[in-house]
Amino acid sequence: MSLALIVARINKIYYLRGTLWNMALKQLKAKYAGSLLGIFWVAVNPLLMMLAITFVFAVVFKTEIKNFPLFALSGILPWMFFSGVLSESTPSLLAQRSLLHQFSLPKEIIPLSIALSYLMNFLISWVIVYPIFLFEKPSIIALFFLLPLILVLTFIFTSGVSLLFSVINVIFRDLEHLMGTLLMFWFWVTPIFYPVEMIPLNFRWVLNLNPLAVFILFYREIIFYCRVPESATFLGVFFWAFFSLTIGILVSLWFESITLKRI
Amino acid sequence: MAIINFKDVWEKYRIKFILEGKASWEDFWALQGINFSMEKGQILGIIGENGSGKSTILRLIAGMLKPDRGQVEVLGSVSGLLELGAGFQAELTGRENIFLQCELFGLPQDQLKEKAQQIIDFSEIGKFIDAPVKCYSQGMFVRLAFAIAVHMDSDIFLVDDTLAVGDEYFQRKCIKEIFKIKQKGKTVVIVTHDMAMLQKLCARTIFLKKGMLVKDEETSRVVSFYSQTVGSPKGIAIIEKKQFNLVFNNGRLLLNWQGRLITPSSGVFTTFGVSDVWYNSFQADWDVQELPGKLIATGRFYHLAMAQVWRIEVGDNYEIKWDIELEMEKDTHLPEVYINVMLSDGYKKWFADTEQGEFPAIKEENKYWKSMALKNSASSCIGVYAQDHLADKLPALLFEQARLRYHCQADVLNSDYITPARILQYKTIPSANADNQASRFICFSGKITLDVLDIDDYVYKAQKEFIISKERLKLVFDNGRLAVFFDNNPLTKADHMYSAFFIKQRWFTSDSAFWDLERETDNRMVCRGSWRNLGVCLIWSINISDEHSFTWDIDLEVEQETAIEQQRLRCFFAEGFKLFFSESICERFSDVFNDTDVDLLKRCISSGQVGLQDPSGRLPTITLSFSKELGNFIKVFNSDYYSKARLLHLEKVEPEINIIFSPGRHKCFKASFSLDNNKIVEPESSCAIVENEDVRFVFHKGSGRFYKEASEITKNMALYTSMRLCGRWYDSASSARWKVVYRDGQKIRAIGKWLDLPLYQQWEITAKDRGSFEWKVNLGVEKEIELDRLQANIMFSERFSQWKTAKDEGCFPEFRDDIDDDWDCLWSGTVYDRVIGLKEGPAHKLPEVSLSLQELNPKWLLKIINSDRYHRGRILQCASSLKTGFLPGEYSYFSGILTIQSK
Repeated sequence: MSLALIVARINKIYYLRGTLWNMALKQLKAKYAGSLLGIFWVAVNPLLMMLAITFVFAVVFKTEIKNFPLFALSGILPWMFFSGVLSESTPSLLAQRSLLHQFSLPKEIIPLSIALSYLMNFLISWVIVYPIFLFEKPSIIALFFLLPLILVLTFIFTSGVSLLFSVINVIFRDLEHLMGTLLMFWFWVTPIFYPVEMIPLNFRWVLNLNPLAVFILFYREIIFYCRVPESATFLGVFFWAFFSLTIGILVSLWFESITLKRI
Repeated sequence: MAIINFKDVWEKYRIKFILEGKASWEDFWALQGINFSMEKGQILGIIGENGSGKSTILRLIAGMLKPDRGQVEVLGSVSGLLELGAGFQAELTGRENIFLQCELFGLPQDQLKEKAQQIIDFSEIGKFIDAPVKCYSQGMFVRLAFAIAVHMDSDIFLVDDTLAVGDEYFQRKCIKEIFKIKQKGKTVVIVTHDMAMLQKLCARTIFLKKGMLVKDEETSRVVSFYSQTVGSPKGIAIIEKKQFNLVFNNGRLLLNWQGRLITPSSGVFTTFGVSDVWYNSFQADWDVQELPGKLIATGRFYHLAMAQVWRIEVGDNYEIKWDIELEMEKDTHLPEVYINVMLSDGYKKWFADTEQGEFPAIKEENKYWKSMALKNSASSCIGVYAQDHLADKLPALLFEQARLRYHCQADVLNSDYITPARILQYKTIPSANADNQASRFICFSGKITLDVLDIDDYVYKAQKEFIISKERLKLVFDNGRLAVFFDNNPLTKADHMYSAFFIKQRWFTSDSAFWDLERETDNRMVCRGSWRNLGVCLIWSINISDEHSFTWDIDLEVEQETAIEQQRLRCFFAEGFKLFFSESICERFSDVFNDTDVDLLKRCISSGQVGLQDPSGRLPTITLSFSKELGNFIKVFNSDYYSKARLLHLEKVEPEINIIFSPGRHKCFKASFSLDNNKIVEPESSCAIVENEDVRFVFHKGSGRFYKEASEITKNMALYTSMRLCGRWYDSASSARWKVVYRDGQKIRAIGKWLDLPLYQQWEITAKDRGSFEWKVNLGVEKEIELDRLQANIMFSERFSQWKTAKDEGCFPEFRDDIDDDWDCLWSGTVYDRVIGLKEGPAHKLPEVSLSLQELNPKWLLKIINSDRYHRGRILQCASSLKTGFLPGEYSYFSGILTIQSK
């Protein structure tokens, strides 16, 4: 497998960006078509989740974290993006196999279109939610320029993972059944509703293993704490984003001959 | 710059097998080491058996699969038609699917609407374009899919076999479209099973077998290879010679010349019809036995209980000998069999024995086979040759029929537009004399010769063998039959002239023998026809003495003592002969032919000569002289409706003691024919008439007819006498020369002198009162002679259905075939019974007739007889059935009164 092949594939996908865009739009529309709240659901869902978590941890468990709802929300939004993309894209190659009968449609388009549609979703939800954070802590506006950066990096990271998982699922179909449990586990392991400090020191290594952790931390820093993230975090997000994309593309292309047949 | 390149491509599928709940995986190699490349603008065809990897190659080009080993390089965008209904979202409408597919292909937005409309128009689906695709029929799917694929304007266009789903109109449309694409410079790859489509579209074809690329050449060669190897293996056999290949494939013969197929994929095959259903040889189940240079193939049609056996032998000089034998159950009707040799339409000219012509071009309007309408369908040799630039690729080809066990009609045809070809066809017609006891018939025996260098020369030589001629007279020997031509006018027709003999309860005709010819000079021919299992051999010696006469000697050679009861020589002459004559008679043939039977006109002419005359003068008068020493005599017939000919039948009947032939050669017939344009024999119209009230009696040369009110109540020989000696009948009407010595309106006296017997008869016919006639016959003998039978007969029309005597009455039954010379005697009594009579039965116009004897010869009997099917008459007879010897003298023979009751 040569670099040329990878470049060719990326070129192909770029050539078909219009198609990609259209597919993403269609999926978005399809999701909320016919519902009452329509597009507002993109915001309502995370808010509802925030309420639930707040109730559990702030009221029931009486967490000491100040301003817990917003604390949680800042992590929930990206999480919902990530988990949504993953849960939908893992079985996507199999579910949309008819599209693959299109001549020379690179199969990556499918998980990518899912990622893209969730991205749109994600962006719209930020439009609704950011003002809330702004209202709470107006100073975060200074770090507003970091938001697009992290959004893009999140997208890159998630795309990579979704590519990887979608291909693995073709070979080991059990993955899609595992996704539910896996994501739940991932949710607990990622410091979304608790700060890093609460993790005992001898378990901190877990954070290093969890690529999503740095992303969530980044979001919290710039929206909730209103601090520029540490250099370790910066390095972390950049690394994980591009690393996962690379792995995703490599795996997707390497196993193509097998996957195409198994689909 | 190759636009598609396959480098050592291997592709495998991992297939899960589930047997009784246990799953196992096996690797299946769909492609093994495929190497080929295509340039831009080519159309490539891919053929192979099912499962040979054709669709896998298309998928690899499309990018739907990646090779497990090797490389696939494809430059440019790809679109096409692979699986039916693939890529369609079932819930969306046709229109929406069009948009979806266009977007997925990457067409820019602004072009979408316009493209969509073009696609909708092309697909011709109509209003269903706005209905969900899940309700489409297969035909609509393929139309839509093809329309979309073709408008994608991709660089490479792929077509899988799904085109076969569409109807003929659609398929033609697609082919036109594919041609258009090619002209635009696009590249096309087609997978198909339709050889005709392949040859129309693709210049180059790939043949796949079990995942391996076996042939990659120009289409016609690959198609020939394909037709050789595809099919049930036990029905395939190949005979190879230097430049030439013969492939027998399950009921088809395919001929390859220099690697190219000269018979289009339907090959050479036979067709026959049974109960309105047509069966082709390639529909049977075949089994082939291969021998060096030969093959014997048996094809069974199970639901017919019939088998065809083909014996094919290929000689070194590009001659293919082909025998077709039919094996049938007893008493089944033999069908007409068509033998079709389909040849490439590169052949432009055809010829038959005497005609030739050019094939017109085959156009789209030609939906059926069109015959070239041969004038002489009895050609024994038909052939085709190509014009100059194709001459080395398409060898000149001759198709001859070698044995004529059954009639064969030849035809040359142009086929239809769908499979354009030239056709040489023979049709066998089971002859009316087919022997229903045997179960195996050789129905056709022919020879196909290739690469004939000088056609005219060949045909001339081939024919020369069997022809002897001198100036205007030409005799043609055709496998046991002899035909006569004068000034190129055929004098014989239908079965022409042949001989036969009766052995072991069967007639063996000369055309069933195996003949060996020796053409000694231009004027003399000796033919030996043998039957191996009989040990009998017919030897014909034919000699032309001058342009007006020839002789024909027929001898029989036997190996062991054999009993041969009868022999005959039959000659069918042209309809143009209207009169026949012998030394004493001259009569006309009837212009009307009987539907099913021959019509016997003269039972026995033994005087040694019979002739036929054409009053218009177009055909020469032909006189057949035969030898009396050999005991031959002639019967004259008018043939049946099927042959429409005049039949002279030369017979040789052995008296009991001579039936057994000792080993050696025996003379049977010695006939000499002479032709004379100038000989004219006038039928004599002289006859003598006696009238009595409303009954009239006409005496004419030994037979007397009675007419009641102008219609004849007698039939055929009517009033006559007849004597039998050594199995031959000597009738007054045909074996004697008559002279009327006295006549007045009331009485006739005539003397008839028998030509072969030393005797004469004196007749006296007098009109008596009230419509009755007295008939007296006296026999005068010149030399001692012993006669078997003596008869005085009056044969009446078959309309008389009842007979009566003094004490008895009865009805006449149907005429029978299988009765002996004495016919069917219904009543017989002594002369003392005196009176016998006939009547018609209730009502009707025929008077009652009765014969009463005047003179009583004690040893004679009165008889009422129903004749045979030839004569179809009712006979009142007074006869003696004992052998009677006569010393020279005069004897009274018969005296009686015939009363015809006038009403």
